[in-house]
Amino acid sequence: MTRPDDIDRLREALATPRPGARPAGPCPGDDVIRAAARGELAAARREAVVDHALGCPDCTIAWRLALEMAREERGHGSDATAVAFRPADRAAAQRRARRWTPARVAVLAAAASLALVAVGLGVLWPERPAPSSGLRLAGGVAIRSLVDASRPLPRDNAVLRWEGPEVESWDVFVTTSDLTPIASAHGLTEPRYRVPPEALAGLPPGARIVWQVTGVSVADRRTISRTFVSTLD
Amino acid sequence: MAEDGAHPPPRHAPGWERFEELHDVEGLRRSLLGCVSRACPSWLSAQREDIVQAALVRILEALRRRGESDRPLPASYLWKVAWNATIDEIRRATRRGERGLEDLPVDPPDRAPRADPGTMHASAALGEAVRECLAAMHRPRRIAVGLHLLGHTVRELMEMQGWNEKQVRNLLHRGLKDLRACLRRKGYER
Ligand SMILES: [Zn+2]
Repeated sequence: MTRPDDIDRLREALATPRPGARPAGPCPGDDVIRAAARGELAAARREAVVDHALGCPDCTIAWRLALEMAREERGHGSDATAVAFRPADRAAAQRRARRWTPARVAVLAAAASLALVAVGLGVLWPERPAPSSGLRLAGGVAIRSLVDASRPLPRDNAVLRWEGPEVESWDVFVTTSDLTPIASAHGLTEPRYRVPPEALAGLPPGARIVWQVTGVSVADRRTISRTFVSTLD
Repeated sequence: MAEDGAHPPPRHAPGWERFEELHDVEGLRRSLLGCVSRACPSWLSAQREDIVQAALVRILEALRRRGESDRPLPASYLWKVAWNATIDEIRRATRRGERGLEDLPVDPPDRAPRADPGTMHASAALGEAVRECLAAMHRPRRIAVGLHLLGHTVRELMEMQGWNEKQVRNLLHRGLKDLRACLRRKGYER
């Protein structure tokens, strides 16, 4: 550890337990931590929880989770982070799905990188892809990965394959395991996509990639897969 | 049939289909994965997808137990249910990680924590040093730096503490300077 002013490392350090070490007092209840992190407690009580959390790796993690979830619940005040749990809304979902083009993703990824530098926080998902609910084709045929999970994907020929309903074309979106976009493709006519080796070049051995495909059929109807996870060699 | 890596949705769970019809489950999965990834230290990072997957199942179970899984519910209520489920799963994963660290000499390699134990010990030692430094700091600076280390932005500090921007920036500037100086005295050089 040579950079004591590296905030991320200090955050990591506060969230790392030392075997056998115990915090000074009993941990507040989870709901108290959540209320404190959301600014819902009176100042004196909140600051007591802050003091405890800074001395307790478990409660540091709990506080940070409560803060992240509060931000997510508020949607960051931006429509780019549509709030999950919203009941399925087909029209809105289709509008979001149409915006999900490679060019758009690239712009948003760049914007997310800038935001990352600006606020020094974790990785941001540039835009939430459309939800699966309400977008299935008649018959509800699911999209299945055909990638063999028992073998790592060779990074010089990382071919993602899947099967699903009859569609006009496919879109694919690939990220690292911390959801940083690394590749995408639009309008594929075959249910397969070779991730460009250069997109994988910076990832360590055994890295996991997260991918999702969208089948587009007539009248722009979309079937969106769940998120698949594959391991690289 | 080949299947992809280890995180199929719990479609076997009773009521799951209805739950998916009512709510944007894929969006929720992404939201939770983002939250867990940003909130958890790297020594838990290998488990974050398992945490989210287990949390999703717990959310459905909780709603089913209360007879609430088959109707739309307010988002704020569902986020509260999601909080309880996710923090429970993180605590379970944390206990596994801590146990792994304590048991390291006798654990076979495949049960050892997936984070590097040497790095974890170094990080834990730095954490102790940071705590000692914070404890010696003037209270407003400690609260400002502490909240910042817990993840809050300048704007969030202003809202939470009722400080203006200049106050927040001053407290953070001076507090972080104190912290750096204190860590240097403890041997943590840049
Ligand atoms: Zn605690």
